[in-house]
Amino acid sequence: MNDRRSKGIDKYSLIIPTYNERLNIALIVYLVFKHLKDVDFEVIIVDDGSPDGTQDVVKQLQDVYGEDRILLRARPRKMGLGTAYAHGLKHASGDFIVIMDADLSHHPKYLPSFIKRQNETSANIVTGTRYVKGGGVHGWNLMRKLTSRGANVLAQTFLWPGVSDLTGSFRLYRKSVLEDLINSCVSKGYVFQMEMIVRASRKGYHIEEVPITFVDRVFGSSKLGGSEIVEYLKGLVYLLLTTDRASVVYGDIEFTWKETRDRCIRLASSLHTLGILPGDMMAGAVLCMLNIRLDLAAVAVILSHSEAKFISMDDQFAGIVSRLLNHFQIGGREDSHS
Amino acid sequence: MKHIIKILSLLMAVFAVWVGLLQISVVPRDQSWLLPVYLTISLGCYGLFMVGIGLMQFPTCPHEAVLLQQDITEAKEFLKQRGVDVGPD
Repeated sequence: MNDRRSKGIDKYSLIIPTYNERLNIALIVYLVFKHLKDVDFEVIIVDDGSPDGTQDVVKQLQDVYGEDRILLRARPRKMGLGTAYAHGLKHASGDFIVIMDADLSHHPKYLPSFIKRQNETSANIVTGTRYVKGGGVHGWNLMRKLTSRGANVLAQTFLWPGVSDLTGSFRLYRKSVLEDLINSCVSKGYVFQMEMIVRASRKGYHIEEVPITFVDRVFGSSKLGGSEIVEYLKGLVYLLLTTDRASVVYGDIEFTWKETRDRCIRLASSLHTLGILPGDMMAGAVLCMLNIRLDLAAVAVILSHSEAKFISMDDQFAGIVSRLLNHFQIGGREDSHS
Repeated sequence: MKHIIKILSLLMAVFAVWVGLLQISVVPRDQSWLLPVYLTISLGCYGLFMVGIGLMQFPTCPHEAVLLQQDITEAKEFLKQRGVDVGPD
């Protein structure tokens, strides 16, 4: 591994989320190995507990190609695309990450052109676009093309994204860039792909595009209905209004909106574990604010009167509060939470 | 800065140009209120036009479907020989 690094040879981690892709995953792995002959890479398959035996096929592929090249990092059930990428990222040892779909709509034969473009331009992100000359789509009827084109014109008019294909998910990212973007994006589904590239563009990352062809063999069975259109418009409005500002800033510490959301969810979880339920004194329950400028005695009186089940404080008050609890013999259980 | 702020600033600039035109009375006073309406309509038409053009020029690749089928056959043969279950033909 050190030899590789010192020679400056890049390693690529391909993250492929799968759900019921028993046949396609085998085909795609074969094609990846066929087209990336002289490249150092690994394939990370994030399977969401497919009932059709996808994981068994992956194990057979591991016997053929080696467990160091094919990594199976499964999850118990369907948990969403964004988290699938984050999960794969944790196990990725490459310098660059390629994300692609398992259904063969993204053909591995374009992988060398992604890599070549990145090498030529030192870009942070190389994204595949279906909507330029040299690219294309097969398998869409007129209605589908219309919605795609309409959505694209809307997005170009209002978002100025700097890329021609916003919802595409065949992309190469520098590893650090992908980590940064995943931490900043909160959307789900294909709006997630839009949010990633729009945020990347706003953060000033160097983005390049390569033409790709997209053969949709699934489209006939999945319809593009009204709910998808509504979801898209909501995503568009969200991206118009969102900023890259930190949501919480305290001295040197900054949290993005996504991190704040995650922290809230974890706090709610711990409260639940401690036995706080709706109806108790906090949200869902009712929150009592303690004035930090009152002296210890006053606070103690308030605490015992309120029959509080839970007291939440910043680190700097921890010492004071524990002295308070000891001194006035108020029972309690400690739980640290950052 | 929020992206919407950029868009609103652009609109403000356009509005300022409109007011400027009013001041120097290039257009007859009684028809000047029509300008924003014309602008919106032409923007809408431009949008529809772009959608139409894009639709006509939508890149398709029927040959790719054929190539894909060939790739699939090749892959199945290779994998079958090496003990990977690629299902019934």
